[in-house]
Amino acid sequence: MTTLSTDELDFGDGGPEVQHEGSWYDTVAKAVAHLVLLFFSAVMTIPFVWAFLTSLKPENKIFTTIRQIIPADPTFANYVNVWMQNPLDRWILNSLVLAVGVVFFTLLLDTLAGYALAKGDFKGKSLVYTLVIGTLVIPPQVVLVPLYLEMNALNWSNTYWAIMVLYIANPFGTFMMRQFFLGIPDSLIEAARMDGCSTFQIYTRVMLPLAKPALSSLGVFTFIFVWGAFLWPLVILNDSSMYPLQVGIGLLTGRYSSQWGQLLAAVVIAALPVIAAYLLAQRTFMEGIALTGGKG
Amino acid sequence: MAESHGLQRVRRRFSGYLSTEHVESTDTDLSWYAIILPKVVLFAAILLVPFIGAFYISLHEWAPLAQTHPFVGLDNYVRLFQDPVFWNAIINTAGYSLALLVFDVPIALGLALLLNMNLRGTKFYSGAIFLPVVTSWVIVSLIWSWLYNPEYGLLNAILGAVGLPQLSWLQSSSTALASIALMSIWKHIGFNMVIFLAGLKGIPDDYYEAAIVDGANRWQRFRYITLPLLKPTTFFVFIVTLIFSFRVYTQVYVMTQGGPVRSTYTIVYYFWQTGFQEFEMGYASAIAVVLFLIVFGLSILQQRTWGDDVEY
Repeated sequence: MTTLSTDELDFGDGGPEVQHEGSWYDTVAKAVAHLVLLFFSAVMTIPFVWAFLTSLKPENKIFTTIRQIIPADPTFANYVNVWMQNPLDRWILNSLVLAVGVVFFTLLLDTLAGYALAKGDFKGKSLVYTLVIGTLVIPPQVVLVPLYLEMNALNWSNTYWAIMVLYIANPFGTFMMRQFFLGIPDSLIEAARMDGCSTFQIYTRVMLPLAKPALSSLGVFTFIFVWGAFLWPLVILNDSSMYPLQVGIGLLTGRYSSQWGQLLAAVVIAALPVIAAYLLAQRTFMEGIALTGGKG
Repeated sequence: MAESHGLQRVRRRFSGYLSTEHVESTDTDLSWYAIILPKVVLFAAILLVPFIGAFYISLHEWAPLAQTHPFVGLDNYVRLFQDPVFWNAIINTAGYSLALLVFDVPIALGLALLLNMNLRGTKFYSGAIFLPVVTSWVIVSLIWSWLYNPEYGLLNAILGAVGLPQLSWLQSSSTALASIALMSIWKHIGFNMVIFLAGLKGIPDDYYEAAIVDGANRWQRFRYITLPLLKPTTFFVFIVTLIFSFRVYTQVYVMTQGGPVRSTYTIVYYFWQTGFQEFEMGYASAIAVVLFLIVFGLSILQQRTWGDDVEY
């Protein structure tokens, strides 16, 4: 993972052009490759399209018009109904607050800590680094019971903070930023010191501007991760108005077990923001995964 | 780590002004402590203390509202190893993991190789295949519950159309776990594909050019250049998939609630049920500790080969 750089994920720029291959063989190979890729693209996208088309059918006609792939008279009634009956707007707001909050604190604290671990010179540095590496292998589920008791003792259950702290504490970003900052030459820092920069000014004026690609990768990955979080919010919240979108939607299944139109409408509403962002910034999303793939 | 273009540019621009002599730091250690303190406090309060707490609680009988939490020694662990539901959960989790390793990783590698051919439309293909990765587990679980619907679902419609027997998917104890695994493979392929793709892009073109000059055909180039140089990436993908898959929970909660007849109980699902439904927190912590030991063992394996990275 540490060997990956953002430069390597460059789509479309020519690999070695192969002129020597027999052109007939090459054409067949390319055609087969296209077919396979087309097949998998279809397999990956059809479920979403199918769910969307179903959500446009009137609830009472879903089962009778199942063979009709494109709905004859599409309607947004399911969307209106599920929106009116559930605090979807509040859940979306909760999810946004959580995701943006976690991304902000993750970027801030992890760049600071990563900077100190990569370039700092202080007693106890190796101890802190050991702590980072050590906590990296703890599955988050292991801390849930004690953390639940801790949050209850603090009277923090049903707050945004209780949910956010678990994700902000994740050591992965610190590790990633340390690796990134290690690649920045010491001579740059010394030059800044000669110009009179303090340790903190070097962070704001040298390190942060250089870290932009890593920051966007870490930010995007953290956002997807927190937006999709399920178990911890489910456990620590018992006030349904505090639910993030995923928990709210996940708990709808019981009530809407046979009302697929409305359930899928809710699903489309929940999926749309992330899919839209993904379509706009496909490359950043993929780089985020390629760079941060190790995160549990 | 390869340097980014930006970094190389900065270095070129500054190289005239840089001196190699060491400049004495005017700051004391204190500013470094201030910089790292917030994260260290969070580590300690949110991860380290609760982590130790999990071991402590697992040695007690612990109901959250009880006045006392009697010490029971290793009783929870003894009970755990005699608990058929727990063994069932371990076997289910391992089976799920195995399915991901056997199907997900090779397909992801194959797709990455095809995308690495730089065909026209590569951006579209990779975008489509990666789409399930950015959507959340809850979303895809609900969509697939609809696809798996025995009477009205798309999958049975396809099976029926080609004349194959229809399945009851999530509603039968013999197919429910496999159905969850199938969906998870579908969701996870794009993730591994992108990691493989990054590994493939990291192999220098010179190697292939030299091989072409030597007359190596496509298969030989794959067999003697790509595969050996991709070994660290492959191993990394295997271990990460394994560690991820041992935490399977959300799909189970949304799609089957562990049923039918506990056929989809996984380790984390059982942990959640004992800890946060039945509030037997001592027993749940014992499950969590065992989960940690399993994942830790797998991580050791990963750390060991991490240093084995091939340098180009």
